[in-house]
Amino acid sequence: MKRRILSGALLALAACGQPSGPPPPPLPPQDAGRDVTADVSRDTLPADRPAPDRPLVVAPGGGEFQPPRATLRRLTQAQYRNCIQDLYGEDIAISRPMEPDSVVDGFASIGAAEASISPRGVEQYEALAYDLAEQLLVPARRARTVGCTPAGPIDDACARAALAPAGRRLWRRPLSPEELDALVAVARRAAMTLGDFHQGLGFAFAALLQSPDFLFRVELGVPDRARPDRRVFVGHELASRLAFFLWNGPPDDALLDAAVAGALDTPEGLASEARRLLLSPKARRGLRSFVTEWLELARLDDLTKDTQLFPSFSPELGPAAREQTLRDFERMAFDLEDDWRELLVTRETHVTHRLAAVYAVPGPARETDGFRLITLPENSPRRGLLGQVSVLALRSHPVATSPTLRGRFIREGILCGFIPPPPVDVNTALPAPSMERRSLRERLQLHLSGEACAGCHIRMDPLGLGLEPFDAIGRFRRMDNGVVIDASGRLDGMDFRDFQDLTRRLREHPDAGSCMVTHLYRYATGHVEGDPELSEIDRLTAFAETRGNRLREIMFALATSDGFRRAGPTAEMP
Amino acid sequence: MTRVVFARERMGVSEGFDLDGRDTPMGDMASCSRPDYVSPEGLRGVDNQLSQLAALLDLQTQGAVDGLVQAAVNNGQLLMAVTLEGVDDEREDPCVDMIFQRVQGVPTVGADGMLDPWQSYDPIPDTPVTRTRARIHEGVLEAGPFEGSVAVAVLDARFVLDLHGGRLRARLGEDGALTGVLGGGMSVSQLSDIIGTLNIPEAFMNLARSYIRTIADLDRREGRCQQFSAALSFSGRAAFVNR
Repeated sequence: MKRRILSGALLALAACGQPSGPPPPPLPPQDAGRDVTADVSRDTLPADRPAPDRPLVVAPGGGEFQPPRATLRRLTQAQYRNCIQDLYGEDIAISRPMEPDSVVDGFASIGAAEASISPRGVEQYEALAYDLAEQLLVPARRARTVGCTPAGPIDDACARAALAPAGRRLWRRPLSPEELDALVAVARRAAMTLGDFHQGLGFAFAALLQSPDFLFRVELGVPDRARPDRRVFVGHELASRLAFFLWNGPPDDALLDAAVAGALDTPEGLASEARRLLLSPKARRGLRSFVTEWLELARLDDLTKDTQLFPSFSPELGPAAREQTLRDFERMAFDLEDDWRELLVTRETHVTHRLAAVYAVPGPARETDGFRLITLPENSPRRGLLGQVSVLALRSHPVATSPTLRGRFIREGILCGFIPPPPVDVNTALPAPSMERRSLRERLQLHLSGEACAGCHIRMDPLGLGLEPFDAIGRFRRMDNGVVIDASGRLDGMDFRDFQDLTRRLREHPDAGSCMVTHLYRYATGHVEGDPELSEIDRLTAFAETRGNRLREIMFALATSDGFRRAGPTAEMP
Repeated sequence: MTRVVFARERMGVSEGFDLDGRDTPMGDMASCSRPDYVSPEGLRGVDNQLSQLAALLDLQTQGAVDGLVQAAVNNGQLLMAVTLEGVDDEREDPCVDMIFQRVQGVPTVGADGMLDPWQSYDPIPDTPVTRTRARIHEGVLEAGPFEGSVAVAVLDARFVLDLHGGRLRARLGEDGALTGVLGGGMSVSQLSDIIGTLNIPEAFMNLARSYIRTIADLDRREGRCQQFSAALSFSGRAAFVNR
């Protein structure tokens, strides 16, 4: 009840509007034309190798890169959690609901750039803010949170000493004197009413946590001196942008210090910090976040199948499959530092007891034994990402496989092709099995025989049929409704004999490399690229090829690229 | 093994094996007056006096015995594995090695109430492992006679039962599934001792001890049969036993 006394005042402080703050730092010297992409391998990451003084790759096509417009991005749920737990410890419970993520074009990070906060969301953020403030200021923790001992219920100096660093970390920039004064005033008024310094301070913390400066990533840039039609990210905005891309969390003190010192505003300084971030264990979390969004792995939490048809299915299978895929990506990127496309063909993967049973390979004797790294037998019909439950079960129906969904994932997710949605007046249901059309392959022929369907389905179904040896939960099978499964097909002019052959064709497909760069670009910048940005993606793709398509190299190149550092004007900011 | 049940006798018909090579009529003293049965396929001389004990247990537990055993299987308490090694042909192979052992793990159970296939289990240290030669003929695995042991764990009971002149016959199905019968002679004195260790009412304990003496039908020595014949029906799914 007490907390409601001042909530009106706090909301006024946290009212949405143009984010305020200290004036942006002076523009750095123009660095156009320089490229700081450098080896980011384990051996060289810590070293501050001199950056090459020329672009490593000339953009194919020759079109001039036009950066996207700058925008605000709301913290995703994962980013909110990571902010709190990175700054205050993993023992802080974030158990209240918050505004759900908005997924646009497959990415929550893109939706975040288009999302506002609903009235319900405001209430949820408010409740969460007070809950967190209370946890941060419980007696056992308050010494760590506050850092000073108040002289009495009213102690502006102590409140200021606590709120200045907290504000810097939560808002990811130093507070202006006016902002700090306002927060100290909130703490004072609440303490006067409640007769307790820490309870009063809790209201100021709640205000910090409800502010748009915390809930939104303010990345608007400053005018580019040499190109008035463009903006460039500098200082704290760039620090925040970098940290959320590479860590999916807030900048640490070292990164904020680098921003204050202007280090990020030089190519060398930016490269140095990008290297440091990519060597941090938090970079694994950043990669996991990207892979989770790209492959829509969050949907595995709600995976359902007809247990009459698939008695082995259980709700625990989806989360285990998600973790399997994430572990495989993490290992490929950070431990093996190998070409990410190997993930399409590798026989090495991580399994739990339950997953091993689905894959029919030896594994741990109990689920509580956790994950074990295994190598699938050489003669195993299964291999690579496309042979995992996370892909096979997610791109299936509850009662049957779906070569269309699976093929669409390959076409769009792996090759970045575009498949338009089906026309609204088309019946997408397949006919029931009959004596003439027993297998799914035979029934799907109808998709390819009608003009309205064939144009798109020819780009999906043949690829998805290559995954037919795996049922709707990902178990291997030889037969479909009494018919021996034929997994052969054709991929963009190349025949494939079976599932394994398909994975090899995909690994070598010329679009696979650029597609990964494209997905990372979308994730990092929070939007789907427009034509003027394709030259930048081409440049990054070509660079990735020279570095063996290693994910950490690609992330480094992207983090230090023009596509990441620059923005076009917004409608509000000419 | 995903399911293990006592092979029941009904109207003189029972699963099992002709363990003593005799088709014994009622009153034959060589089998201590216990009659043989006929298999469902019509083969005579089937020895399975355990079916009489099973009938008694059914009566005493109101038919709960199979459920208790199944629960022990499903919760991982009673996991038994048959492993085949050296199999060149799953339809015809005159010489394979069969390993029969209890294993451990925390299995997952499917919506059909049975252990999911292809699960992995660990061997149990210091637990008897029976290894014997076997053959596969027309997709049917046959092993025995062999001397083996069955480690049993049901509810709070843990014991090892020796199997004398053991036989196993199982049809190998697709994807490593199998269905069959395990049989052999069990020692009256050993089981009597085991019964004495069980947490059951004393009256029932005494009844069971007396009863197994009356059903003894094998290994007649010194005017008494020292063993009784037993047959267990089982089915199983493919699994892995970790090394």
